[in-house]
Amino acid sequence: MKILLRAYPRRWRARYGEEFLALLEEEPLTWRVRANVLRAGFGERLRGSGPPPLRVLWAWSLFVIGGMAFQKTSEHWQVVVPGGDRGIPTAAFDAVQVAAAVGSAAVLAGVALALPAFPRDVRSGGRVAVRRPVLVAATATIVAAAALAAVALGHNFIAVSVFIAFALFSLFAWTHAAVVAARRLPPMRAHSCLALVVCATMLVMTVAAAVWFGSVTAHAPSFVGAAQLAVAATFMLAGTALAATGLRSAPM
Amino acid sequence: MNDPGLLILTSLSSGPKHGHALLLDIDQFAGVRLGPGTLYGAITRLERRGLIEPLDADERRRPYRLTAAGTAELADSLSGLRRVVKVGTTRLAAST
Repeated sequence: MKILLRAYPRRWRARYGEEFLALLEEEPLTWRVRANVLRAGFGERLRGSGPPPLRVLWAWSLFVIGGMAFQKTSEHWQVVVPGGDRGIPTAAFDAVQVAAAVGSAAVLAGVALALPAFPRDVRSGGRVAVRRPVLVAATATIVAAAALAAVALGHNFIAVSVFIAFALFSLFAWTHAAVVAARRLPPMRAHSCLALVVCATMLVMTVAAAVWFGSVTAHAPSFVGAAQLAVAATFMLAGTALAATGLRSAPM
Repeated sequence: MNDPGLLILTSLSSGPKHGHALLLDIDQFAGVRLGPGTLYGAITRLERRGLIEPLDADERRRPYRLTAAGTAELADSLSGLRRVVKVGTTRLAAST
């Protein structure tokens, strides 16, 4: 039962956790109840993930994983598509690349805009709030770097697995640290506009990746692995959907 | 008629209740069985808006009661619903 409670953010658990557990103990714990609690818990996390542009930052982090899976999947795709039929997949692939560059630039611009206010906030008490998330993220990055070094020295399965796990953890940990820091800064209208750009690029990449997939598999049905496709599609769609929820409530 | 917030405000209008009592009462008067997550999601939002307030915990169970703002919100919502019911009933009668 306490595992279900982990779906909720820490601050919510501190306020409502005990009484909520008391309620759960009085209810028959069916699968429907479990699903209801999980959905509500993640909804609470979503609401607590800061202003809408910061939610788009989380969405971008999710999308990056899908993008990396797509990048890996699409390596050497030209080999399996005849020269005369490469028009559509090339256009779709280029659209993904351009949208990725625009989206990355928008995220970096958002960070750059927030940076001047950050040192001031750190001096006025923000240091305490960001210290733990930054420490966690930095530690994860160091472990990921060490695992990468181990991969370079001798390609073994454990080092690769540790690297992937900690690289992903680092991505989310740095996103969390950035969100914790940015939540303390005054909101900027430019961030809402940049969030819209990032959301649009995610939508373009998702559609273009689907078009690329359709046109490539028409020539080589087994070219794209099911696992890679599942990872790419899941994270791209999840990222786009999360960004859309952020924009829906954004004061544009 | 299954807005969890409105159902909770309606239930609390007869006096303070904790989570389980709210679920039972809402089931009884509205025929709606809210999930625990839905109930506490609505409680969280109502408390944030100042429409309900917690009382001292009875062991681990914490009762909630309506605030003055919650009472006004409930009256306003019910008044709106009454208008909808009146118009809907009139139009339905005219169409049959």
